[in-house]
Amino acid sequence: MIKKVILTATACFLLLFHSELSAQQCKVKPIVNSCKSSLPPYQYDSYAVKEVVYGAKAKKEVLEFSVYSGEEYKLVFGKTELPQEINITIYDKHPSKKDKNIVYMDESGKKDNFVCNFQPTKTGTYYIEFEIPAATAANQKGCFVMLIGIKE
Amino acid sequence: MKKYFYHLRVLSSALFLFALASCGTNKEEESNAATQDTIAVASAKDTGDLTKDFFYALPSPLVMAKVFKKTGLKYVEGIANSPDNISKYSSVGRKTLNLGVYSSDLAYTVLNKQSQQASKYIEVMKKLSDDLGMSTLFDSDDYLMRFKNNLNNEDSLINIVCQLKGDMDIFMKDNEKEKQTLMIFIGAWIENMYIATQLTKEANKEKVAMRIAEQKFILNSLMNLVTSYQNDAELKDLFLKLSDLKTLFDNLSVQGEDEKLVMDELQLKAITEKTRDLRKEIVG
Repeated sequence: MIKKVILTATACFLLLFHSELSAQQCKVKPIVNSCKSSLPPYQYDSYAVKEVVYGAKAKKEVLEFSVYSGEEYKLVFGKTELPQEINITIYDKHPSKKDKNIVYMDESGKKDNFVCNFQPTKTGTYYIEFEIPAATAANQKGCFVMLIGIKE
Repeated sequence: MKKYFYHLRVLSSALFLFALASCGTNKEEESNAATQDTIAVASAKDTGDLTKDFFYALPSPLVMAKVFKKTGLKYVEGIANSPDNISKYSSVGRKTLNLGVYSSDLAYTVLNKQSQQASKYIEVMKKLSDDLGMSTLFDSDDYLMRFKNNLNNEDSLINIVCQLKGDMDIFMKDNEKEKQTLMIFIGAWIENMYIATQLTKEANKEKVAMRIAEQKFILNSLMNLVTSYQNDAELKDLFLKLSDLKTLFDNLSVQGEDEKLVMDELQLKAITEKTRDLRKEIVG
């Protein structure tokens, strides 16, 4: 009897451990497929992906992208695979820098794919800051994908 | 007694597995706690998470080629890497780097309406992709056939190149090929830089020099990513050579409120030579 209980417990722990590992992998294909129709007539340039893990407290994280001045860009934020909404702000410098400027802010509050047009005045790196709210359930995580399109 | 020890052993194994599973959770909680207060910490964590997130978007070879072409850069036959050189690339590392090189050559030829030459580049890209175990990438959407069927339509060719890049990005992420993605980008970036620096005389020199100088920002971002692989056998040497090139870019002066980069003739010459040497090592 004891042997049976211990073996069952072992199997449960193994299953738990395995599911945690699986959940850490961010598969982008379904998210990209859900938001790529928002890109045309802009042409695909590049993308970035971030696994979002909701914690006990709200937190901020940063994603970076490089663009050229004088070009017109469209950014498509794929947020459909997130269990909770995240707020997005784009800066011209790292968000920790005092002299940063806000380039764009998504205040829609919608848990949906979101699109913005963007014409950088300088070539280089821009920063997207996410505001990730506190988790409302255990082991809450999801994937965020950003597609970058450029005007022909 | 023997039975007692057997049960104890099974119980110990279960506890060990539990501890192992808990480790991941604790690590995650620690990570959350560490990142909740400051953005700077979050950013540092991002760098450590490179193998999990593609948190940095670098410009595609087509966009780089397009930006350079807008400066007046002309098409010069023989400047791009010859498709025949594919026979030289036997190691996985060289195949990967030259997949990037050829993706820039494909962009350069497509943008300059050299469709016959472009079709040779997409062929060698397919060959290298097959060799690197990425055959499903080209086969999934029959890219080669679609490309050849649209040789007379430049817009269609550009669209196909963009779609291929998009599919390649997804493929690389979903198959956890972060290092290979970086190597492909390095190859592509060097080839675009090589073409631009070699053809400054053929273009509006001031404009092209400005765009070359701006590559400082792209190189900085690239170096941030390559740093994670600086001890990797395939990237170690490349990291050092890119560091030398970065030093040349770091010497460029910055002027005015809009932080415009200024590059003189000597600096351009030094960057041109360093880029040429680095490219020579990659394409062989």
